[in-house]
Amino acid sequence: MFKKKKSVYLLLAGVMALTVIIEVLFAHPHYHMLWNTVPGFDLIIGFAGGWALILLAKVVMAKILQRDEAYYETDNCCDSGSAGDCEGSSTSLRKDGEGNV
Amino acid sequence: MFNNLHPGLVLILFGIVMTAVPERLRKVLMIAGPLLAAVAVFGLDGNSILSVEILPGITLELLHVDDLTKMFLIIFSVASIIGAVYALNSKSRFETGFEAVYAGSSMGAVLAGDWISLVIFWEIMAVSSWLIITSAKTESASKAGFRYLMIHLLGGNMLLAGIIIKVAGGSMAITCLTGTGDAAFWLIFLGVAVNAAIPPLNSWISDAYPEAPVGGTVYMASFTTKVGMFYIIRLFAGTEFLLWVGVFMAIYGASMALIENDLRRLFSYHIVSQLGYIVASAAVGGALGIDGAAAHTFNNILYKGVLFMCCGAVIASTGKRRISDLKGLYHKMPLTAVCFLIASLSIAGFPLLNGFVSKSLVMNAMAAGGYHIAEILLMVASVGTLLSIALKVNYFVFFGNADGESEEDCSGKHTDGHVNRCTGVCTDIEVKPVPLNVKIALIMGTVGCVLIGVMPSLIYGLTPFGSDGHPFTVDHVTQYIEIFAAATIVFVMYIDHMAPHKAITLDFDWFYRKPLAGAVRWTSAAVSGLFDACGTAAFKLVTVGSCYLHSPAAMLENMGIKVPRRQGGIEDDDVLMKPAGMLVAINVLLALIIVTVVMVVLKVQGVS
Repeated sequence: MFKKKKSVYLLLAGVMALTVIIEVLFAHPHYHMLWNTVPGFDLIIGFAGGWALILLAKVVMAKILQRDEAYYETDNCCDSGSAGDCEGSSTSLRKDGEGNV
Repeated sequence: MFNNLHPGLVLILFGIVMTAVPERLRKVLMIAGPLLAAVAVFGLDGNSILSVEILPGITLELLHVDDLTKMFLIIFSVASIIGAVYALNSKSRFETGFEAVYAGSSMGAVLAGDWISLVIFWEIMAVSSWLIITSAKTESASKAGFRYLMIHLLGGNMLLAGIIIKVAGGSMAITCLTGTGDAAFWLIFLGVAVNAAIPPLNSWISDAYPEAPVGGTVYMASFTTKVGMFYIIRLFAGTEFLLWVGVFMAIYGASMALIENDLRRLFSYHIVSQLGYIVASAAVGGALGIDGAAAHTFNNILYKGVLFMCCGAVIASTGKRRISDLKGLYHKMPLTAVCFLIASLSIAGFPLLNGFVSKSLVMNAMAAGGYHIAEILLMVASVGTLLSIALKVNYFVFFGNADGESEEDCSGKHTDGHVNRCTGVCTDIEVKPVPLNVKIALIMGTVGCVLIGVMPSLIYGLTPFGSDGHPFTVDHVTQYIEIFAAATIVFVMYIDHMAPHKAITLDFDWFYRKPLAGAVRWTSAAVSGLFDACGTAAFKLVTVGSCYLHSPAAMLENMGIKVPRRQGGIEDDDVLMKPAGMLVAINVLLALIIVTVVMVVLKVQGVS
């Protein structure tokens, strides 16, 4: 779908140009803030907002919040270790019914 | 004829019967129940009354019908019917029965005219939804269900505590709490906040929904949080601090969805994000804010239902639930892919779909209320929704990446050490056909999204104040197309970083799954150890004491005091006297403990 990035960029650029032209010619905003009145201002919101969210999610949140899939299955004693290292202890905990709540 | 028929009780009754009848009859009841409930909903009006006196002076008003209630009941009926069609193939009579009970209790909660009825239906909802989760019969579902039940019982108890204060104050009827700010306000708010998934009380969604049976998840996505939204609107409309809570939810949910790999967890975060719009709109209050919140809840049930149904169809057909394990499913599941595309564009707010129609109301409410920063931030959250569902899931699961390889399929089979450069055997995902009933349910939901999208009056006519969002003005339509086009450019730019990888994302549930669970285990071990130590010490004390106490005469003789006594008497028989000595020792010990406690209490009272 996005293998030919240039074609996609061109298509989107065309769409954006068209909407801006339509906005200039026909739009009658109900509200009078900057993003309501300046044609094409929403492009900035879309681009900057998307960029900021990807940065926030993929760079900041992913690093802080993402863990190995077996994170909750492991015992507290080996939180930071790999799942394989504490497979025995987590299994025995589950059998005893004392795994994580 | 159906003016006083309670649709919730109808569904609950059908649900209970469904747990006990053979499969064929159960399937008939699965469809008949929601249909009869829908008929009952259309029969209700402002004059409908169903009162039950449970105690002298305490009467439950089970039917309180106004425009907001009616709107929620209509979409609940639609969701029940679609959910029943979708779950028609389910073999579990308990799962399907509990689903009907759950849907019925949700209707009952919305219809409640007094606080006590509310809390009764609220608790039935919590328990029945927990039973739905556990009916998946897996260890992870059982654990997630336990956590779900705990947090919902906590919420229910807070609600109950607030309600007790209200009822004790002589107020039985449910009234708006905005501006009161007393203890009842905060307790009821916290109780509702659990169902409304307001952070940090949101993580039960992403924890429990992915573990429930696929049909159950569709139901759950339609009711619990939406009943929460109903009470946010009914009790807290116009509460200003909720505006920023809503904005935070919208951005937080969308950001978490951007990094999530598990399909149902991803949609769970989108529930939080969409609820953010509703909470923010309700917080603005007024006709526009309330109508925006109600309309967005209505539409959210439709498109979110389709998304979860598509997700369930993918999981049931492929046996895989992670995005990183899926690719190019459009060729194998075209109908599911198209329905998903429409619903995903709808949730993102694409013109001519229902999400656009209600988002217009929400955005108008922000702009009209002068909350411009919130308006911008909600637009940014829309971008996040577009990136994480409409682009990410559609590309990686359905339409793009068809000739790529998933990590799992390829692991170990490539020779050059690069995951995406493997060749040969791992080229395909086995896909089972999607059942007819699932296809019908998908089409029903998708048609609903498109119908409301092209005919906004359908939803505007149902809102409590009949506000018109004027969605098809040039500035509105171009605004969304521009935002979407620009965000898509960002997605294409960073396409290599957008692919999710196998990892879980920690949420607020971490606090009770790790530190709290550890603290509970530690406290339990410490208390258990303390009891053991006390028991051992007491036993030793009693044993030693009994040596002296079983024969007071011998004890005095040991101390050099001569005691006149008969030789060979019973007091010289250790077998007979030792138990007596033990008894005396225990009594002495207990007396010492009691005296100590009494003295401590007297001392404390004396100090205070």
